Amino acid sequence: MATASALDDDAVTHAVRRRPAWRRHPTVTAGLIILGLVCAMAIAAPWLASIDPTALSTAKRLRPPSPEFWFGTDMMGRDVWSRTLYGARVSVITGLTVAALATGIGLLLGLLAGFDRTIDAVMMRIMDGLMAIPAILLAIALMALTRASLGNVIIAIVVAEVPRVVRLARGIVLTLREATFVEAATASGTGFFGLLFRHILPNAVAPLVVQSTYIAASAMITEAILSFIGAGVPSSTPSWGNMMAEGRTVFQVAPQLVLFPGLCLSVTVLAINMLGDGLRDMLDPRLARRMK
Amino acid sequence: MLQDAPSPAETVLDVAGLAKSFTVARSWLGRGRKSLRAVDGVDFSIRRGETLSLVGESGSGKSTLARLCLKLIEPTAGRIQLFGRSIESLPPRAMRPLRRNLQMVFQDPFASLNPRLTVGQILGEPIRNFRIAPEADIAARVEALLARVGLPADVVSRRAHEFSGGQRQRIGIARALAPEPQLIVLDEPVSALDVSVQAQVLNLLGDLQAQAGYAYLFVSHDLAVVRHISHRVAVMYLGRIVEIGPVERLFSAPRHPYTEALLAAVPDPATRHRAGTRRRGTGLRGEIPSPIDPPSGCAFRTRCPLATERCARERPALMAGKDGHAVACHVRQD
Repeated sequence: MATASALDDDAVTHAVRRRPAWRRHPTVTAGLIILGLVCAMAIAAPWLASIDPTALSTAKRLRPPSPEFWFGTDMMGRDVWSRTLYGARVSVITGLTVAALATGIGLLLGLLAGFDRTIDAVMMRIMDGLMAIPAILLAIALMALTRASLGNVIIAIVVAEVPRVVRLARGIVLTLREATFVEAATASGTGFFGLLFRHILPNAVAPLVVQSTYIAASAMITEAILSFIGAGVPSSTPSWGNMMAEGRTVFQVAPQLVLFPGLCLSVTVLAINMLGDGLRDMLDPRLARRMK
Repeated sequence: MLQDAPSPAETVLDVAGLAKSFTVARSWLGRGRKSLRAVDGVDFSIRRGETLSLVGESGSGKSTLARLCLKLIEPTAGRIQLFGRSIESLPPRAMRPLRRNLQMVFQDPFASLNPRLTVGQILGEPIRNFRIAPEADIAARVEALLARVGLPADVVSRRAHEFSGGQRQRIGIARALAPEPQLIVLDEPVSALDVSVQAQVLNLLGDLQAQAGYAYLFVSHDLAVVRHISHRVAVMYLGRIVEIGPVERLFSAPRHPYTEALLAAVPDPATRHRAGTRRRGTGLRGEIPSPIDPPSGCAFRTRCPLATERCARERPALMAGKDGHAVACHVRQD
């Protein structure tokens, strides 16, 4: 009977639920811990770094790692440990801001496109055009038009990332508009805004949150590339990208100049991707049930 | 009306000439639009406490017709009257309060419940929207609804994915009951369920009708189920009703060759025996034609063993016979 099988379901669900959430989703936990450390590094940089990251010291150029300079010094005698910590600030700010802005703008434009055919036709052609240009080239072109600053780097990357979010959001909205449960809600007397805020948006959020983690990772890499080729944050601000660019020429004598910022970037991006994959499994109730 | 005209007070829903076309393809530069006539001029009415079944093959327009009756999609032509009031051209805002009278249970119980909402939220939605009960009484209302469909009260805080198909369909039925409607459209409500669960859900629907006098528009392709649950049956073919009549009359003495063929296809010993002796050779051959380019005259003539030259020229009208049994066939009309 129905009631009996309800009880069976109950037993199964509760057995699984007894395991704490952080153990059921180890990738999310690991990703969050690493990202937490990176953010802590970025925030606590002034206290963790005893030496000014921009202080030049011609007498102490290209020192190997030592108790005084944990990550060694670069060719202008600046402390690589301090610069790596401050570089985390640029990466974290870029990643978070770009993810938030691109997802927010993309969702708004995607909703408009999903609900109005005329807007849809015009907007999607513009987005197709933007997507035809590789994101990195678009960002370089935008940076060439403006002054090098963190704000401009963020704007350039957002412009390059938005079309992908718009595509995703529009697709989700179009699918959800036709969903049977939206039809059912219409029959239940729910109006346009009820459908939007109660049925369409909550179901669109999970895939967009997952997408936003990938955007954060890709934004950090794009920022590093822009800084590496000298089109990113000004060289007076330490960032992992411009540190690697400066260390590139002396890589054979002082590999630590490239190694440490490169390692930090890779680990951070890996952590974000782990978080994204884990969230995707966690936020889809149907998928989550199948995976148990 | 085609049936022995029901008194207006009893008629819940009355549709006439109802049609729906979809634009399927637009050639280059937007010329030469092609349209698909999913529902092509349908008339019927449903009385209080009555079950009218719609049967037909896939692609005959049953589900489209069901959604048209609720104005979940807008009709291209025709009239829909709810208690004698025309609703076919009402804008969505004006339609909303009237939806209280017209509810629907959907075919796929896995798709018809929002995965983010709890059972309590799903059932509370129509109660709130139609102001059935004050905010303080909603929880009690939801519990009463769950009891009516045979679910324990403690499921209110659970989400749809925690239930089996049969339980979800019970939740879907409870949602349809929430505003105390006059007509419930059941769009193949059991076809996605296991056979053992089908009987439970059908019995529940029968009990609910006996208690509250709901009218059902029951869409199905399962003739055994239709025979069990219906008062009247309408047979659809390519967007049109080809035969409509009381259930026993239609099953025991079908008049349209398409109805005969459908009944002959049922793997029921009694029916097959009859088909074998009296109606040999009426089994359906070929596929249902495309509704984008339907045959001229009678839509069924391309597969009909009785088709004459007249069937290609003239579209047969649904002609009422005795006892409300109507058929649209040149050959079989009296």
